[in-house]
Formats: sequence, C-alpha cells, structure tokens
Amino acid sequence: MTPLLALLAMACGDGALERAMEPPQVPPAQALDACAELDFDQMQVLCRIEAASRAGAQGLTELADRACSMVPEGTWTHECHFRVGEELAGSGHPAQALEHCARSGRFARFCITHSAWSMPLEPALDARQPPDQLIPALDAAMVEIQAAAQGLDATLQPEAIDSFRMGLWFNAYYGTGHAHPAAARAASRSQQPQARSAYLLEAARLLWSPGEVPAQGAVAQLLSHWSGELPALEGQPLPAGERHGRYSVPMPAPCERDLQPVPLYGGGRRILSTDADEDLIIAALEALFFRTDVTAQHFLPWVDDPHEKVRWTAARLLRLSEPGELDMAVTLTALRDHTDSCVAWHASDALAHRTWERKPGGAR
Amino acid sequence: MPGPVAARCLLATLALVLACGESSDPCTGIGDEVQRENCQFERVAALFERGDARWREQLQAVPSAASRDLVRLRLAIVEPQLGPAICAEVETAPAKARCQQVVGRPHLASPPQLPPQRRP
Repeated sequence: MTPLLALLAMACGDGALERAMEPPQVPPAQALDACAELDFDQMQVLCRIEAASRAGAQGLTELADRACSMVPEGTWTHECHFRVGEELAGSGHPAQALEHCARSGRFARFCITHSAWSMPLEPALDARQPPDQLIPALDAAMVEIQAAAQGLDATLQPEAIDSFRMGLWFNAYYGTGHAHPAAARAASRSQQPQARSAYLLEAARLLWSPGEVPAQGAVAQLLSHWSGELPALEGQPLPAGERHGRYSVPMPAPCERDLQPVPLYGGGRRILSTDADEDLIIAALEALFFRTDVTAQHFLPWVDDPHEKVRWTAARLLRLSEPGELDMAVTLTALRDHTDSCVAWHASDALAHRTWERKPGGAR
Repeated sequence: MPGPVAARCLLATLALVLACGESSDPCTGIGDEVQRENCQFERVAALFERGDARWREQLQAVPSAASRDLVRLRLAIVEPQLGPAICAEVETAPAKARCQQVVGRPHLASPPQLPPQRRP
C-alpha cells in the first residue's frame, strides 16, 4: 500500500470514521438519534450503552431502558444494564438499579456490588438523625430494595439485600465524624449485623489517629464505646470521595463454606454470628482491618479466642495484614499446628500463597 | 472556489492517477468511506474470527492509523474478552478514549462465571 493510495482512501470521506470515534456530546434525550446516525454497528453499540448510562445517571429510566433494548442481546446488553444499574444507584435510585441488575446476566453480582456501594449520602439516612426518624427511614428504603430484589435470580437475592443493607448503614455512619451507638443499637433485627459493623467502622476511625491503634485492648475499647461504658465519639468527617478502606476478599476456607456472610465494603464479607457478643467482636476485628495501619499482630491474640468464629475471622485477617513486628513465616508455621483446624487451614494456605504480601482487597 | 471536500477529492484524484496499479488491496479503491471501512474490517475480521494469526498482518495493511483503530475497536466489541489486548495496540487518541469503554470494564474480559451456590 502506498501513501498515495492511503491519501486517496481518506480524502473523499464524509466523516463517518471521525463520527464513530467521537460521537457528538448531546443531551441524553437526543443521544439515541445521534447513535443511529453512526455508520458502524459495533460503534452504535458503544454509543447506545454510553447513552443508557448517561440516562441512568439522570434517573431517566425509560430512556435507559430503550437504549439497552437497542443493543444486541448477549454480553453487551448485560453490560448496558450493568452500567445503568450502577448509575441509577449512584443517582439515588437503588430499587430501579436492582431492576437493571436483574437483567445484567452474568454481571449481576458485579452490578449488585457496584450499585450497593454507589449509593449517595442521604441526609435523611444519616446516623446524626434521631433514631426514631432514622430507623423508619432505613426500613422504608429496605422495603423498596427488597421488593426490587425479587426480580433477581433467587440465588442472588439474599446477597443483594444484605449488600444494600450494608451500603445504607455504611453511608449512615462511616465518615460522618459521629459514632453514637444509639442508632445502631435501635436497628431493626434484620439490620443489626450491618448496623453494628457500620458503627464500629466509624468508631475505629475516630478513636485513634493514623498509626496510633494499640495492639492490645483495641477491640475491648471499641466495645466499651458501643456499650455506652465509654462516651460517644465525635471527630472530623471525611469528604464523600474518601470514604473507603481495606477489605478482605472472600476466601474458600472449608470451615466458612456453609456460613452466612455479611457483605462488607466493596465486595468484602465477614462471618455472621447469631450470638450478638461474638458478632460484635467479629465486627470490631473487621473494623480494625478496614484501617490500613492495623498490622497482623493486632489479630494474633484472637486466634485463641473461645468463640470459634472470632478465631476464624482473626486467622483470615492476620494472614491478609502486613506483618508489623511479626515474622509471618514463623507465626504461620506455628499456627499450622493449631488445634482449631480452620485456623490451621488459614495458616497453611497463607504460607502457600504468601497472602500477607498481596495487595489488600485484590485478587488472591 | 472549490470547498474543502472538493479540494480533497481533487487531490485524491491526482493521487489515484499517480498510484494506479500499485496495490492489490481490493478495499483501497472503494470511494464510499463506509463501504471502504467495512471492507477493511471484514478482511481482518474474517482471519481474526477463525483464529488465523495473519489478521495482524492484514490489519497493518490498512493504510491509516484511524482506520486501523476503527478495525481494532470493532474487533474488541465483537470479542470483548480480547478487548484489553486489542485496545493496548490502538494508535490514536480518540480510539484510546473509546477503548476505555472496554478496558475500563475488566469484567467484560472475564470468562463466564459459574452460577452462585445456593445456601443450604
């Protein structure tokens, strides 16, 4: 091919190629017409998904629906509904978001997680509200979400409901600069695990400056604030874009396989205990892990706790934490012989994969 | 005074006269832009879809970077699992931006998951 022929090939074009690469930025209502004017089928697909997503961000559900219906069935339709779902959640329409997640095929689980953690902060759903106003408002939000979740595959419904519960409670507490346990303690029964987790995340943030968490007694201190033995905590709020932390990815520990998890921030999950005291300790350990400055030695004493689910949680968080002052190889080699087979499993698996060297929250 | 498109076509005609007989690429001589781009895409896609490694060679034979990138983007949409690898080779800024719709969404490149296990 010569440069001259190339020149010829491009010279008489009417701009179809340029249009395909840079579709005009028009308001969502006109975007579908603009997409239809593109000359290449595949580029129309991208254009329509973009249009659907922008419609979702503005809460224009009918337009988003129409845009996704024009995308060929399969991966890209699923992607379209996924994009719309997360945008609708981000613009404060969680129930409508779930309706789109239900149509996002194999991306449904991603869609649920992204949507649950895209929900904006709502003044009416903030733990600074009096509990007698906050709790009914949270209950009402969950009624809508639970109804919308009925459209999901049955296997995904419990996870979706739990994820949105956690997302709502996280937004209510975390980063607010306000860790008063009254609202969490007043939570409806079905929301108590999420409420105590959210409260403890904020309490663990406010209680110590970065790098100042005591290795011994940190959990006991958190629980004293929860019980009211120590006063409620107040501090600096976090900007909305900075309300994130470290979370542990799901792990295939044999002992945890049949346990119901509580979804945590961003796809993390913790063990749920039906014993409220045990569940509080688990939630406190997870809240400490959310702080990136908490090292493995904070979790070591808890692998010998009388509560088995506390031991298992501690073993999982220990293996994922930076060593601090611990020699991880020596510590985990000793834990391989632990009398609790689940702790021993975590230690063996950690040594095999050197999990303490992995990026927190990343793939195992 | 001829307009910009007419002037470009005039130049192109001159180029055609000079270049006549120098290429065997059947797409190059197509005057209609959309048909020409489709021709280039189909020639590459035919090899790509049957796993013939010569698709890259065919792609390199497409004369302009913008047209090569259009082919790449269209392939990435046809086969999103290969999107990141294909998009890594785009040459122009607009194509890089469009590729974000593919590479910025890593689940598109993931193989289908098994359905979740139902809890007892």
